[in-house]
Amino acid sequence: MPREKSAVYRDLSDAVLNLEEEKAAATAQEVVAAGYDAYEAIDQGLADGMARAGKLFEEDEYFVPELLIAADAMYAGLGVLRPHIKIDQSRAPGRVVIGVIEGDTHDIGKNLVKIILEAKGFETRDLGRDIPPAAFAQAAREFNAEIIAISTLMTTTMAGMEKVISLLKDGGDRDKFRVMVGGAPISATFAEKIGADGYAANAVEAGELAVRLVSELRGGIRD
Amino acid sequence: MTNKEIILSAIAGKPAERNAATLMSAGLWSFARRGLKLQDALYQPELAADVLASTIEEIQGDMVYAATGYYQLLPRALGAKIKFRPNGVPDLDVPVFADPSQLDPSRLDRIAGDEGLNFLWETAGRLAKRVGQKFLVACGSFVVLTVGGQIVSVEQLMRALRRDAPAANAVLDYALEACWGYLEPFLRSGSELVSLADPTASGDMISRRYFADFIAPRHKILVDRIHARGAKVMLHICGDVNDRINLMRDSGVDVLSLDFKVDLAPVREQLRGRAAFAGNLDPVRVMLQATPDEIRRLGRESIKKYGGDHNYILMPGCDIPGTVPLENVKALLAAARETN
Repeated sequence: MPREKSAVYRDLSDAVLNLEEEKAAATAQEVVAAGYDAYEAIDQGLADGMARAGKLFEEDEYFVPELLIAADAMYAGLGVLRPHIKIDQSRAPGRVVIGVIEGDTHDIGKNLVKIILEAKGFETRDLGRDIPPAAFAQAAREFNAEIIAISTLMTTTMAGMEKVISLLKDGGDRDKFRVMVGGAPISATFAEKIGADGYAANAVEAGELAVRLVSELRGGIRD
Repeated sequence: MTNKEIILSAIAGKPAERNAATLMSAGLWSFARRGLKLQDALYQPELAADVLASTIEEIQGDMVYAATGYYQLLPRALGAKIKFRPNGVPDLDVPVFADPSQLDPSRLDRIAGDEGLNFLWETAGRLAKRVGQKFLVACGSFVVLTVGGQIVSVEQLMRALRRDAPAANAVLDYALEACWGYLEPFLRSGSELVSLADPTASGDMISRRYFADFIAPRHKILVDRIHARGAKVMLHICGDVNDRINLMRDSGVDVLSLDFKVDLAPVREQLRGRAAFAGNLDPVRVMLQATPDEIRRLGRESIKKYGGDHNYILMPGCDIPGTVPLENVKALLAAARETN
């Protein structure tokens, strides 16, 4: 006799929050065995747990080690559930091309943003680190991305972010994308100055920003 | 008083004829304004020392760092792959080891014979001989958690802190000995202050508990070794360290170097009489983007607010970009000369 769906989803969420990778995978197997909806389990279980972990990160209860291990648990559950998502439910809330700009190989912040975006259901194409501006523009077009997320930790590489935007303008398709930027030396003022659409101070904010930017893009809003 | 006497007075918490002031690191900035890339300067110790010496003579900061901007050379000596850039500091491409189980103590022997590091130590020696009477000559290194991240990747080490304490401790002990292998020759070359930088140990990255359990004890070991050689120690951790000021202080450092995210007013209260502190003008929004007049005003305000106990050093909150105008640097240092 399978357990109540809500109890299973709660266990999935708790497994992520409590950094229990094996429990997340085992509970995801339970979802499949019980015939519960995989998309719903991801949304109400794994993503919920990651959101709770993100909240603790914002409240300085969790730090980078905890967030990384919570993500490991989330991905362990996702690995089980993804093959069982029904096709009509698999549409992501948005597509994101993400990477660290050329000249910089610090990618832990980018990786955290990617985790939060995926927890929110975004489909991501991770370009990695040390990525030339032209590669961002090209990948965004090929991937039909709505968001281009660019990160850097260094003051010396900030200028590459502006280059991505100018390449989109040169290509005549700047309005097809929303560009968000982040990283230690970046600020909202800098983002505005280079013509980016948004800035996030941390991974959790980046997830919220991406949702807002996609909504704006689909609504045809531009400041 | 010489510049060196002024900053040593601040480190000792004693009055001087004016407040102390210095740039932090600034190797990249010093070379960039002469059109030199870090990679070019590395292999020309005589030229590198000349640039650093003439720069400090020109700007009249109180301290000059030898060989900053090269913090990836230590992992390269141990086997990491790094990449030099046309602009900026080199990047780490591939860490030294794939995982903690592969730590190889014999690799530490490579440090002493590494060609690049020997050029850095030679630069430091030349600089000390040239300007060490007048200016405090410092050296610097990433340490402990940050070097551990260079050894096995930051993400692996972060996970190990939570899931595998023995592995984390093994990596951090390895990192500690690697740091000492790198820093000790600087002391033999005449550096009189060691700036330990551990940005990965920030409150933006790890909890106070992990800092207390894994990091602070190893900082103290380094501090004790450096003190035993007669040099002073500065500890810099980027980002928010408000919750760990006491732990940083208790490692025995002489100076805490603080980022712009830190409120210096409570720091002054916590440190009174027990250590000096330095900071914390924003390297980008102030040093790069503000006008010289604004920088001078902000510098004077900082000295007024924090300089009352004679243990405050006016400094940017971190290393400055290579493109900061000379006038902005001079404005910062002028602010200190305008106080007494």
